[in-house]
Amino acid sequence: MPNSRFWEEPLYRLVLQITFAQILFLASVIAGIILIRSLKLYRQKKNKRISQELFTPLMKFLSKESSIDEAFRALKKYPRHNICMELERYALMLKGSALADIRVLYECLNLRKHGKRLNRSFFWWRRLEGVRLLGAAGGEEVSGELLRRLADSHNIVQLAAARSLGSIDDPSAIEPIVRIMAESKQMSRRQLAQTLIAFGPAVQPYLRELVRKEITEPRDSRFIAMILEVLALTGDLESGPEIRAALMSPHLEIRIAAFKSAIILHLPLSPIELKNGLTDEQWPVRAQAALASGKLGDLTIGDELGNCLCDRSWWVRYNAGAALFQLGPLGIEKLEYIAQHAEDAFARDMAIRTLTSDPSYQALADHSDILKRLQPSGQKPGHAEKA
Amino acid sequence: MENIVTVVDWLFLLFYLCLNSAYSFLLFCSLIDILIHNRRRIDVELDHSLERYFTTPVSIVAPAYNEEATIVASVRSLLALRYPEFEVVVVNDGSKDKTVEVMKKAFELYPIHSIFQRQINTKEVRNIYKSRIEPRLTFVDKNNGGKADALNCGVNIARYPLFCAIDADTLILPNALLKVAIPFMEDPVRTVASGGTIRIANGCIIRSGDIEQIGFPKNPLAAFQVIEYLRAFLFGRIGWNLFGGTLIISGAFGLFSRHAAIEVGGYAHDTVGEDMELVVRMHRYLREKKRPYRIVFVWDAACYTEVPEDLAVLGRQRDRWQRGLIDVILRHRRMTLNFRYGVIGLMAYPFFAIFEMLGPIIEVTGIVFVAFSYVLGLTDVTFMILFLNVAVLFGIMLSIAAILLEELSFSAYPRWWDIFRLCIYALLENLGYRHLTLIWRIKGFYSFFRGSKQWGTMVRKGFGPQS
Repeated sequence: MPNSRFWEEPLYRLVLQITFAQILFLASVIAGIILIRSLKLYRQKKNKRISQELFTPLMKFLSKESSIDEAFRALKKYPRHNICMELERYALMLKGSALADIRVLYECLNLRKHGKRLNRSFFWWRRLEGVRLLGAAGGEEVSGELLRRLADSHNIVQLAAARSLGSIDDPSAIEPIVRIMAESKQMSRRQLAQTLIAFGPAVQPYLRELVRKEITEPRDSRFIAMILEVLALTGDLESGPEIRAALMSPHLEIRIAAFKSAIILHLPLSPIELKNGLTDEQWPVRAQAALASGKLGDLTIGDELGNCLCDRSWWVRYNAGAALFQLGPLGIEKLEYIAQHAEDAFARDMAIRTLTSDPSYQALADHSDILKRLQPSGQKPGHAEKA
Repeated sequence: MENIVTVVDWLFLLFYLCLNSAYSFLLFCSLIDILIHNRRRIDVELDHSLERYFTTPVSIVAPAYNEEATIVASVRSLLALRYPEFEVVVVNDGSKDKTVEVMKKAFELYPIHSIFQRQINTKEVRNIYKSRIEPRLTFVDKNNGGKADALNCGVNIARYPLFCAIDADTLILPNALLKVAIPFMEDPVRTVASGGTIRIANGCIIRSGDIEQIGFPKNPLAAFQVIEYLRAFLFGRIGWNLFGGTLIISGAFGLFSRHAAIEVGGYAHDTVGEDMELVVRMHRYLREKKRPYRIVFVWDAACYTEVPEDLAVLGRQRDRWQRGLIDVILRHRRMTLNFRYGVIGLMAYPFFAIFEMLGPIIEVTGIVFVAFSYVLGLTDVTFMILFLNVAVLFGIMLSIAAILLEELSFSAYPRWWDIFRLCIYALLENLGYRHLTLIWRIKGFYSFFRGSKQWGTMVRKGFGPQS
């Protein structure tokens, strides 16, 4: 039977102690919630107030209504962290002389030194703040510091350093960035590629040279493929020979990237180059070549595109249909012919799909008559890859 | 007799202790992860570099069944997402209401020839429509075949290498798709799936498919579910994610590699837990093939969904969830405690089998048994207090800790009054609501073994001008 004097038992006391401990824990978690919320609200309010207060002196300074000394006196009474945040915001928005004025303020407030100090921190998030600050502050002396940070042990700091180097337009950073890009993982590569694009035409000679050297025997075909696309995205019209050479690369990724780059640059590819792409042994290349044919080709490759409508791969057929449509009235006529007379049911279906997908085509009376005459293959709607 | 009762009492206590300790461990792991993540300033990184050329394009697949109230707002919100290249494929799964008409009118749809890449078998597609005003939208009208069938159809029609499966009534925050896609960009070869957090839209002010202001639901049932979702997502899933043990990517918001999903055969038609089943099948298939892979939970990628505010509807939903869980656990039971499946087989699977699947039965039996033994005088006050400590107070502690995680992570509820109400509901949740859900889940057991495959209907208010 249960003990009637249970409160004298040691186990009961222990249980009570556990209960109190739990209640204490609950109270402390609730106190923690209140504290975190209060701190957040306090910080938000404080930052908002300071941001509003900083607006007037900064605007006066940028519109030349006040001197650098007046701006310095107005700003120095605020916490450095807030000034850095505010100046960084302006630095990201402004260009030209206004950006130069902001960078003068960085100098006056000795913030570059602060950034360098942050860069030596043990904590990576402080180093991250440091490189962002230096990127916004600009100036020749920050390049060395940022280049060192490109080799940071933390990936995010590396990326931020690369971006900061991009924002200060220091061409000496291009080579180290490309080197790091070659050794990075895919995500970092994408981000570093964005940084390279931010450099604009300055990166083109180096990247062209790199592609030229590695096109036949690349260390990493994905890397070279990305470099080709970066070149195209910077608008490098001189990279035509490299892109053409890349079309013949034994590596799938490079051939795909070459067609993509040609589309970006509107590089006029010869019918033979397009035909080679359309008959490539790998379907992703054929699909990409079909896309390029629609954008860069003419009706001399109409037959090859027609053949692609019978391709084994859905995507090649899909892109080939779209390409024929893009080639204009004659391409559309070819599609109509295929839709009505082709023996291959897959080609017929894709041609009909391409024609019906375009609202302007449907709207034209002549064409809508043709659409009514078209007979789908009779298969179940939708079909798998050809065997 | 008394000795047997004592032993059984202590066994039930031990079960509760193990359950809540396991949750506490997950909570601790989540806390660490959130604190580290907060330092990364990921939004800044996103703004700088992910919005441009090198992101992987995504097809958003939204199955819709009788969604006339919410479909237009949801699709508008999807089309307003911040992502460089994406398309929206809405699959109407043979709705009986005016979903098709509403969509046709709102987006000026016109039919195209229904040819698509059929890589997974589905019910017949009646029509495929494109929009005259929104080229990124494809609307598919098909015969009714269930949610899994509609998703498979969407996967067939999707053009891009990644597809995002969402519910048609889900509102995704503008940055969320970008965030949930990061794992695929970090590691495009190994990543096969990633999922985000589901939050509750009831109580929020929504205009034109946009969340204008996040609010706490006024309906008590929805408010209890806020606590539940916080617990499930903010420590359950984050914790498991740290060990690579993510077994569920919610059907309301998950991003998948199209190739991987097709390779494992797409969503299973014969289960009501198709979202969990796909993820578990991916784990199983890829482990058996010895292929390196990762399935990731991205907690700060959030979307909002409407939850039931009615006991009957909520009960049916929980019944269905439980049936789905039992089905998946039994279907892939050979993974349990099997070294071949690593963390999944040795930790996640047994945890889900014991605590999530069998948990409701053991918990309810435990409560009833201990209560009776106390009333009959077979158990003393000390044990009773200890049991309540472990079963109830520990649960309250976990719920309150989930609010702490919410404050550290999203901090979505702006008003002090909302925080106060969250705490009150966290307290009350363990004094009745939780037990009610346990009963629904036990009913789910009964329905499962009776062979029920019903989905049940969800009554929606819709995201009108102000919901």
